[in-house]
Amino acid sequence: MTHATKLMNVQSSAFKYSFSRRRTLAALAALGVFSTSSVFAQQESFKIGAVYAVTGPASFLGDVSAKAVRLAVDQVNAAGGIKGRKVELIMEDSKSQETAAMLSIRKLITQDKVSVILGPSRTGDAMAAIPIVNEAGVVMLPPVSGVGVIEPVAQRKFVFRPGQGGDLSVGKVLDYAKRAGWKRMGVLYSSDAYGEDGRDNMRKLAGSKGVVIGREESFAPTATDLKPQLVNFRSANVDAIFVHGIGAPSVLVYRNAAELGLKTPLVSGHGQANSAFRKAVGEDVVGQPVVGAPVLIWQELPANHPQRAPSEKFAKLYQAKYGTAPDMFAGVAYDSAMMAIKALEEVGDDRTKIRDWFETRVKNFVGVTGTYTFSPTDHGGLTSDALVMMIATSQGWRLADYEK
Amino acid sequence: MDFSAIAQFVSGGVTVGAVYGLIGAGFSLVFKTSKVVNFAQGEFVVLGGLMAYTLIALFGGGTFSAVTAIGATLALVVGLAALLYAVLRQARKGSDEFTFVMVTLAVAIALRGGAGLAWGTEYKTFTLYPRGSVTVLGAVITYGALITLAVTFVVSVGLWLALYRTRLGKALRACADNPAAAQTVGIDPKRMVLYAYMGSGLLGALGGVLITPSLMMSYDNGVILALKGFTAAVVGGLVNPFGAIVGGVVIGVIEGLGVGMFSSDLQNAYSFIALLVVLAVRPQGLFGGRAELAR
Repeated sequence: MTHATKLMNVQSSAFKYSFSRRRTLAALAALGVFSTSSVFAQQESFKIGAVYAVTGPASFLGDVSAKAVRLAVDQVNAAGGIKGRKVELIMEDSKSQETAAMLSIRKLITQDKVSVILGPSRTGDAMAAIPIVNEAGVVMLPPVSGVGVIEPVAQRKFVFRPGQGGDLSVGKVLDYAKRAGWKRMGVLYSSDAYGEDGRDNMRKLAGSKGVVIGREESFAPTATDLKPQLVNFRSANVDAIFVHGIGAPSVLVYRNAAELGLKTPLVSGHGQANSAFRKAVGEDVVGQPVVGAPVLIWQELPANHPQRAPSEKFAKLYQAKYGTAPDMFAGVAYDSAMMAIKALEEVGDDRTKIRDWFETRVKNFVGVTGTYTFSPTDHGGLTSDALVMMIATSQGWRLADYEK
Repeated sequence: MDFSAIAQFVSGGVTVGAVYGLIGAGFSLVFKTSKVVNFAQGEFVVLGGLMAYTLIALFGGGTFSAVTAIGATLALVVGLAALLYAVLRQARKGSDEFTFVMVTLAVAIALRGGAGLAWGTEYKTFTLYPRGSVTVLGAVITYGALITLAVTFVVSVGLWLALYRTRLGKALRACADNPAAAQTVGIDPKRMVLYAYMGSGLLGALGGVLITPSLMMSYDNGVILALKGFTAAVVGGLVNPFGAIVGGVVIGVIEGLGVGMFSSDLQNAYSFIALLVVLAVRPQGLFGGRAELAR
């Protein structure tokens, strides 16, 4: 394993080189633009740090997050910045690794002296970064689902989670289970922080909805064959299998189930609510329920749904800039950037004031993802409105009938 | 636990293991001739999968163009392997094997970064064979798995014929046994090592082409593939390419049974535990001679 460790270390420094060079180029380009205009004359800029998994296995969610926050910052700068001061976005790549995420966050805090941190992308990365942001007193906004990143609140004073919690996602699944008449469910989760959070939420909530967990199975984030787990579910006689994991194995679950001719329905948490998954999984998911976000099917939302208008606006902006429709993670990251910008506008760049702003002043903030209300006891701030149940179609998704 | 479930675990393990074995055979071929562990072996697999993805899309449908695309992929990766050896040969006289290993590590990182830039970070896949499966002893075996097993078998036979039934193979083995003596009878050891690298490129690329349709390929899969292939090679005996293929199947089956019958939490641990057991009981590997290891 020492070779693996060596590989990782050398790899990270190689990437760092390419990224810092890219950033230098970007900075030079930015200088070229702003030196000719006097819009942001003399004033020091506001600094927002962002850490997302732009590369590595979680890049399907980190990459779109990075694009979305870039969009938010460009938007505010184009409109003259915050009170005439430019917003500077300092972007770091966590490479889907906890160590890299922690190093990036340290750098943003001590070297770049940012006022607030957007990201990191994965539950595990955010968990690892909690002591760092607590010590430095900088607000961190990870677009993740893990409950552990915000609870217990007393030890998570500087973490506010803009992402839909795993408990909300599991709640949606159990709602669907009740309608479908599933009494005995299997749980198939990835053996990482995200997957285990889903399993724990299922253990906690299943009983209250009259569902029994018939069998639990896990898979490594690098798994290549999920048939053994699926065969075990078949012999456990479950009515449906709840899948909670991200990346390639979550695609293989559906593919292997089709190959085995498994009749048991699969239902996925919101980790699969993204275009990369939908594209890779192809026909194998058609007809299966997947928990998703309003932004993915804003066209089908009722006109009075609070997220319909913001989703439509964001989706069109994003489409115009990047040529693709935004994913759920893009919406979450965009909301976190817009909240950070609003905080800077209202209380300036004092880190403590920003924290207090998030805890006391975010009330019914209507975002793309959902309507946020943070409080001293709740740093999650979303309700089950922030998720919808979708059914996969041969083209993409549709809203489950009962959601309309 | 019914019998069909066990059959399913074993058949899945054999298929995955066959691919580990192909990768391991590449490790073994290079180690046999040059005593160097080539850590770029995993990148050959990734590039094989990704290049085939691009070329198959480029050449269009039809069996002929698919075969051409795969042929071109294999040729490109073999060329790359030759290039890697050309880089290694630039090392100063007196550099030891460890230096070469570090160079292969550096090349692996460069290739991985390059693949990330060229293909992006998304998983890629292509269709090579029809979807479908047969049922053997209650276990579902996909066409993809059957093709993987068939190709691995053909490659094993081909490799054996090349090593033991041709003059080139004889020269290669002579060079592996004793480079100095081989040189005195007119065999160029550097040329032999070059062939070994090209062979390892071919094996790796083939592995990549085989697994990408069913498992998908991402630019950064090389590390885990190299680790599993290396484990296969060590379990089988690092100096024996056929041992590596058997070693791959052994660890694949252990993984499949472990996941199915004990706990899926330890998926990646099973093969490495198997490695530790083999190293403790039989350090030369299942098929490695003690004398060959000692040298």
